[in-house]
Amino acid sequence: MLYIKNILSCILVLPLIGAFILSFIPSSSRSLLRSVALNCSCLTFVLSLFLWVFFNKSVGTFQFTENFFWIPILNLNFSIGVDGISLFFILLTTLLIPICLLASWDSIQVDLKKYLIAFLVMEFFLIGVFCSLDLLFFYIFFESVLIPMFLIIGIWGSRERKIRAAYFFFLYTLLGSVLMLLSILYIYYQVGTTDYEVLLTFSFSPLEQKIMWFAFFASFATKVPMVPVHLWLPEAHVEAPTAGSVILAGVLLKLGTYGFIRFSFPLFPEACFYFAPFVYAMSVVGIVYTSFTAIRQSDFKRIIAYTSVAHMNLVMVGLFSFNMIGLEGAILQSLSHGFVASALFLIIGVVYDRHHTRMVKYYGGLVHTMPIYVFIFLFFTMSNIGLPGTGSFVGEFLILTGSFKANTTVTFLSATGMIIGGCYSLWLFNRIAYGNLKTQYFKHYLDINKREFLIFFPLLLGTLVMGVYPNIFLNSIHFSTNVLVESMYF
Amino acid sequence: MIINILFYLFSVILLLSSLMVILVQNSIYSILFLVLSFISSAGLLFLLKCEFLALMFIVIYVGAIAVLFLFVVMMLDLKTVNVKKDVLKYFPFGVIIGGVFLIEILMVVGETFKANPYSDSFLYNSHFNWYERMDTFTEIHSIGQVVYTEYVLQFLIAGNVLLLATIAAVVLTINTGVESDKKQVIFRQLSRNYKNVLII
Amino acid sequence: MRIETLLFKEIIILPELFLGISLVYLVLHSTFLAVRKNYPLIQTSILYLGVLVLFLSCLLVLNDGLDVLEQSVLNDTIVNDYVSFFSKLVIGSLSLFCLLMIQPYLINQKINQFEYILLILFAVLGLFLLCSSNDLLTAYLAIELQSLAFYVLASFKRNSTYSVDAGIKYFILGAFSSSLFLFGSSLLYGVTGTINFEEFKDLYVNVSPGNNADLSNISLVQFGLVFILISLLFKLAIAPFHTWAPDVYEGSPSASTFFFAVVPKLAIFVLLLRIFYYSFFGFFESWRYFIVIVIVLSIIVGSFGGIEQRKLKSLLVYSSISHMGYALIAFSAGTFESIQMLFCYLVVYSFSGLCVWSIFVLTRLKNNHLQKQNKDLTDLVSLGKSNYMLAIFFTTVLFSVAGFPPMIGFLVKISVFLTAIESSMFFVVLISILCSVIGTFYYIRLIKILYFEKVLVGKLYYPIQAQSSILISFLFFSFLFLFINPTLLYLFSYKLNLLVFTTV
Repeated sequence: MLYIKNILSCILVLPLIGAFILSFIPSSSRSLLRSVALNCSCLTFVLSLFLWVFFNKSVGTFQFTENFFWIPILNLNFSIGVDGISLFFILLTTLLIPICLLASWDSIQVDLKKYLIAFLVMEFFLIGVFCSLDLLFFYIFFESVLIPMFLIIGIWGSRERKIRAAYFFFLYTLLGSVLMLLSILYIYYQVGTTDYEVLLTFSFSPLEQKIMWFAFFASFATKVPMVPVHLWLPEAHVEAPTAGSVILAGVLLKLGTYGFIRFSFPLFPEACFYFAPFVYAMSVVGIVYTSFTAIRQSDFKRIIAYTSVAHMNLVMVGLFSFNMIGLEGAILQSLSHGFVASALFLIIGVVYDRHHTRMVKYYGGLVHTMPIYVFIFLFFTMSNIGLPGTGSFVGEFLILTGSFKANTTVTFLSATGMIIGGCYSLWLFNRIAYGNLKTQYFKHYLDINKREFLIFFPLLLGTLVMGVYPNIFLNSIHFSTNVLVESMYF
Repeated sequence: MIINILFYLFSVILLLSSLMVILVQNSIYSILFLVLSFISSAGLLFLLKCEFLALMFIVIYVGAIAVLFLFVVMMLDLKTVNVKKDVLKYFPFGVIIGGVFLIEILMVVGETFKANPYSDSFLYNSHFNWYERMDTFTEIHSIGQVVYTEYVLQFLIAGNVLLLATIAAVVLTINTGVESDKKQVIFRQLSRNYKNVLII
Repeated sequence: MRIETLLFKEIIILPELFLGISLVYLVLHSTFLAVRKNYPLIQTSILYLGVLVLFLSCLLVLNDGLDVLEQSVLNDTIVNDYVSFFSKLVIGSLSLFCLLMIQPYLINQKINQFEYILLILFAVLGLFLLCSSNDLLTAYLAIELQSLAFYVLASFKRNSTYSVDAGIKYFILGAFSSSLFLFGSSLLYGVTGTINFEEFKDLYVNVSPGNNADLSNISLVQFGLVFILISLLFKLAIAPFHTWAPDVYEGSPSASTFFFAVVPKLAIFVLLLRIFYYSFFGFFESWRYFIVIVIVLSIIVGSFGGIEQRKLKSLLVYSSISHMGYALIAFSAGTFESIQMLFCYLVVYSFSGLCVWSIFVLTRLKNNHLQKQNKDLTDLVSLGKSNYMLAIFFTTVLFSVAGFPPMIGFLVKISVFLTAIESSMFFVVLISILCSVIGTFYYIRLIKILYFEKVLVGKLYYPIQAQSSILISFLFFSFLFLFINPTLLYLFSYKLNLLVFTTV
């Protein structure tokens, strides 16, 4: 068995090396560009599988850690490491990026080189977010993700409102994050370093904890997104290209919940308990309100965007239940939402590539001409609803069980949100897949080809495995979550 | 005592004439008021026993700069514009701001400086001490001793500033005269028509 | 490296002497060359001669390396310590880059008079003297030398109303602020009897911050200090004394604006440091609240004012107003590390200003039938297609100027905020960080114009010459390197910091 010592920094730097190699290839040789990018990202995925294989499931500490010096005078250094929680987020990222690159194989005509470089740089930043063990570097990577995403939405987005969407996305997230920056500086001033493992041993006074928790909350709440500040999500999702939406829904939304798990819970436990009712209220409002809003939409992508908001708010409910079941359910639901939402956006991408419209009223009766596509669509719609046998069910069940221990009213209300979820998902699927073909709008229908099937296959497999035998994933998470929950209660 | 009277006289003339520089309409009048303010400040300097500096004021400020202003005003054709209507509009606001500053200065100065009880009496200057006035330097002597030994670099820098000023003046006004020659366009001269010459 | 000759071993002001004498020589040389029958154009050759002179004076600054902590000569009026060494080097190398960058601009805009270069060199001489001045008289003379050169540089294009307008505004307001400086220093001389910074420090060594915190005990010293402070804030174009800056910076020829925006700020901050941290540190509390108000005003004016601008130059002016606000945050904190972070911020600000303005000066429209030299924002449209690498460079530098993560601008900005949090100035930091988000909007708008517009016909630009492109790529890579390893910057400023606070 191979064991590379610095595997994590290899995974981190490999997309950047790929972007660097890409910049030397002339932009006229499209196939060479695409194959280099795809090879690089697949290699990253394979290396991250090694992370999973060699992961030690019986300890709750950080593994594969590495330390780099940055500014020794100011005591700011850069360390990376993986534990049970971040392992699967890294795997999700490295799985989704090749799928995104495959999904945009034919649909990006102009500036392909810049597009591929933007994706690879974004992969670097995303992996950096999930594996950095230093608060300042977490923030730096957290914010740097905005730059490639901003460029992707703005240059390769689809409609005239893309500039407005790009501004929304950038400025909303930035406004929330600067408050977090102030808290980080205050922490650095009090503790003297921003190293995560040192910060875990430090305790703040309750007033400081409350103020800083709120600042961190302002930043992560915009990313999750929670209800008053969720407005950027429908805009950004609708205007982004298919692959942009996939990575946005699949990984970027998880940054918020990952930040909560990693930083808010261990550093500010008392403030978390204090603010838990507030978070519950906002999450429940989020679930119910966005589910109701999704029923009324006429744009395919917007419906799926609103379901993303609802699912992520359910994850928040699970997170703030503060017991192991809820926490594990939240992490599992995040992962499965990563698979399911990405697959749904890919589904809309398939149809958009053929007919270039997203309005639901133009589609109907697709089962007659695209049966394989409809099969995949049905499977993922059922996952979206939370059918047992898919990963979403496991996640939702664990979350609802965990939050039942904390607060029964919240559980009841979130469960009603899931019922409404069934309502809009089924209605959407019905309108598009069944009924009569709308030949007054479209004359030609083409089923999915091999490339598109290949992008759905891993997601299909992942969701199924997660639904049938989730212990494969939960095994690695147990100890880390245990450490987390225990640190909160003591 | 008489020094006090002279100080108040010169200060009042200085303040009033600098106020009149901005308030009069005619340019020549305002330059003449400027000259008056220079001369009264030279008088103030005489009272402070800096006779060289006072005479330098008169020679340079009045003799060179005010004369330069007069030349410029003479060459330009300035019309006296009546701007009286705007003065009363800004008068109260200006008085308030100026009054605030004046009160602040008076408060600070009043705390810092205390009156000398000896020099206020009537007989202060009646005893003349010839002893301490025997070997004193004149002012020009003392300026020379300090400026050319301790502050030589500053003197050179001031010279550099003057060099810069001459270069600046030349740069801003020089006319190289290359493009000022006019040429004849024979075609345009020959194609004149009586129609666009004679206006009936 | 130390060049030792037999004769010139102990002259501390050798760089300034060299610069002054070579300036006089250059004046004579170019006058004799240029004033002939055909008035030949010699400005390129004088530019390269000027570059050579600046390079040699930088070498001389390096040569005067310090054996001891501090040497003061000429009756304590000139001091040569680490602050002056560092700032003279930074200013000299920045002006070197400026001169090299504006060479194509001067040829294109037909600024044919060779005195342009000489005026820039005079300004650099003034800035060198300002960095190493140790009393109020030398500082005033150096400020006058530099400002006079700038007044003429602003109004250099005589047949453009904007330029002449800018020159007159700059002259009147600059003379006004210099007279405020003079009034303040005469009050200080009247109270203390000396104009030397060292002697100020020795006189007020028993006054410590917090001693005279009640505002009813205003002494004449604080009164004089207020005038000096306001005059220096005028020169830095900080709100509420910023109203001259947009008109002046926009009307002057772009090469002059390049110089104004990048180079003098560091020197004026050195003077502020010497007066307010070295000499009069005891009176710190009396002007601290005032500076906090000034900071908040500057940041608000800079962030909100830039949103409305449609021309690139005005946008950059408002961004520099807000940047001076951030630098003043570090200045007003009063702790040990605040001076270190102030210098880091100023160096990075000057460097990124150099990058942005050199891009601005180097891009030239192809069908410029209006002969306008001032760029609207829409002139940059689709630069991402016509000059690919320049657009990438511009984007990178813009993110650093906005203070956005993976760039060095972010690092120095958070260092400044860190010093403010250390002195518990929480409210100021909150407002300034929210306004910085608002300011980020107009930087993103520039990036949008570069990349996102789907216009059929963009604006074409002339390709950049080889010399300028080598310089720009060097700047780009050093910029990227600064984030990966900023240790050098922090080390230098830490050493500088130790020397300012030797007795406090």
